[in-house]
Amino acid sequence: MSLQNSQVSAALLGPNILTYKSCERYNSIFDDGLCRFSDLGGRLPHKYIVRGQWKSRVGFILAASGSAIGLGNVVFFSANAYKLGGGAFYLPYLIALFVIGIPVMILEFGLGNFSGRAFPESLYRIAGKRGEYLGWCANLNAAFLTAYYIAILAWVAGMLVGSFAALWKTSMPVPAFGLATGDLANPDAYFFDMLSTWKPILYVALVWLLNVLIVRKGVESIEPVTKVFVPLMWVFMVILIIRGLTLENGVQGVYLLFTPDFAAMKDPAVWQGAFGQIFFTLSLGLGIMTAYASYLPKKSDLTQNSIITSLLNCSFEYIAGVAIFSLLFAFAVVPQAHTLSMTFFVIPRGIGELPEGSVAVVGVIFFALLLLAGLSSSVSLVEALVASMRDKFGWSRKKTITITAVTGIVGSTCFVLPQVVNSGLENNGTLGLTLLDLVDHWVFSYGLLLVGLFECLFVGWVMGPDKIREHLNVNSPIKLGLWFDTLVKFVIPILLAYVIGFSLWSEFHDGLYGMGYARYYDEDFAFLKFLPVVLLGIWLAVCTGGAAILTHKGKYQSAV
Amino acid sequence: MRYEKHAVTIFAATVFAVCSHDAAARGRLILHERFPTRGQEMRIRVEDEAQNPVGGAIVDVTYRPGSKVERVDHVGTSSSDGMITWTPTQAGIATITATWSEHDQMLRSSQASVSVKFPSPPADGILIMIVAGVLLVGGSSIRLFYMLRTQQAP
Repeated sequence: MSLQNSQVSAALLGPNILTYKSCERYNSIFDDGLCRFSDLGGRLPHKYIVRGQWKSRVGFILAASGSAIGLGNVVFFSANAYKLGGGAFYLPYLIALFVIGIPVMILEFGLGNFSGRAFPESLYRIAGKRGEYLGWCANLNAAFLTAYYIAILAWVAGMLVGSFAALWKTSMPVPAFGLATGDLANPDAYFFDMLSTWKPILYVALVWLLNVLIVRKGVESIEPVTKVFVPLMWVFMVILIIRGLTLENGVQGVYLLFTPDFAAMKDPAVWQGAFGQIFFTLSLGLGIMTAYASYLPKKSDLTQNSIITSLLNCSFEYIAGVAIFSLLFAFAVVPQAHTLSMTFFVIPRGIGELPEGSVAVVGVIFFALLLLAGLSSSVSLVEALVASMRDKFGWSRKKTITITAVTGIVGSTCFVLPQVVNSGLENNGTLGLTLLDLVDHWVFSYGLLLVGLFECLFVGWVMGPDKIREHLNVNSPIKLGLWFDTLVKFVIPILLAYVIGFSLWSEFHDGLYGMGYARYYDEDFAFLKFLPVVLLGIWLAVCTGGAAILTHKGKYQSAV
Repeated sequence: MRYEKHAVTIFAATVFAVCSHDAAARGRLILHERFPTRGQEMRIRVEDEAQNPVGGAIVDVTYRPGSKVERVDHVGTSSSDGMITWTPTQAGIATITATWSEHDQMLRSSQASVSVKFPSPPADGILIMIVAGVLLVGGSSIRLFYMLRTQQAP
């Protein structure tokens, strides 16, 4: 919300503190009745935006870790760990946490707090229009991610409903795929039956509604919700871990997770997977952490906040890995695919093997946990988009959220389109799932990493990492040394460039991702063979073209 | 928040694998131990759909299927009473596949997944588990405790 000076009864109490009567209208009033503007540089701007603040450090930490902890922590980590050799993956993962994860988290927190603004404006302040452009690219990339992330959450909501009863039947028919009862076992049959109907659109609307309700007042409404959600997620995971470890030979699954395979560690793909996992799991390169940190007071101890948030996220992954590997081992489940199959097939299959009385209870707990974890992440994605747009255009929170939600519902709906394009189920089955698969590849394999790379280059070579470091060191007992500058300027960019280069090389070597799907499409949908190229074009056009438009449209409301 | 890049590619393929397994399987494998141990011999019996023993079935085992460290070993051929012995060489999840042809020359196969135990708790695995636990869970707990105790501002 931008306000004209004349509309506000304001009194400048200090260089950064204002008070005015209409504050409460914008949900930014505090216990002492003051609104704080952290980065006015001692001047009262002609226009400014009312920004909330975290009320407590615990609230901020829980929200930031809640953002980082999502569907991927619960299932992706275990899938990746299994795929990349258990302990062979875990050592590189730990190294990546300390070499890339925590430093980039510190960097993103520092950027947000240093500028007091969301991602595009933060980068604008250090690198001008070039920086802002990168910020919008990140936000638009995150918008794609938000759309399909909420589509997945919609399926989770559907599975949660099914886990009360239908999911645990031995089998059920899936008419859209021409499958009769017994052709496909549950939970797979239930999932594909749901996917081939329009029901998930209702769940999409429901999940978006929940997101809107949670972010409607910004950090003030996010904070209390995450204070409930995040501890609940831990409680649910502890229940799963107890169940897993008390199963016969469940503890052997833990050995499987941590026992290293040094021969496998020579494979560059293992290191690529570990570094990628850390980058993704901490929600870096999306602008979320910058947006959240922009709501912190200047005197915040950002270094410790970054360390706690990163460690909490990886602790959650640690216990989730233990819980899931114990289930996998106890039931000898082969995780043939990754996140989605782990979420919707493998783990439910393991739960289905539990004693009859406990199946529905554990199933409901599992999908409720997934929904909570996903919501705490999707809320942060939505808030990052809302904060960026409000910073630039000065729209009211209500207007910004409405625009984001309406656009988002349309986007998420694309990813739950129920048309059966591959009735043999050799590939993705429905159109929505195919779109999700293809878009996800570009968003995650390239989008996030490119943003992370350029973010480090801007801070390292344009702004100078020493400025962020000095800002961080003022209020933290943990003092960052010159090693931080070296990491930001050299080490992290080189590592990220290596991972991106490795992915690009694979793309050229193995062919454009998704082109091989052509042989699976049903005859009526043969035209979809060009879908990978079309989607790549759309993704590139929206992220780069859209970012150019947003960069050149209007001026920042906080600019004097 | 995380979600795997190639997640969906082989997502439905998993289901297909389950279907095709069910459709193609014409027998079953009876494992004499639910949790075999690495380095310890165990017996497997191959049966056809009428539960008769299958002799001459080729038995292979895939250790850690679907992972980067996947390895396929040939176990041998079942004897006339359908029995074969297998000594697992790697702990973890393994898939055993038996393939044979009957009088109609059609290939039959049967598959079973099994978890192979470590013979004793692996020292290197436990070390990594403890180091990671201390660093991650311990580190975050101590920091959180300190933060809550001192009631620090954001």
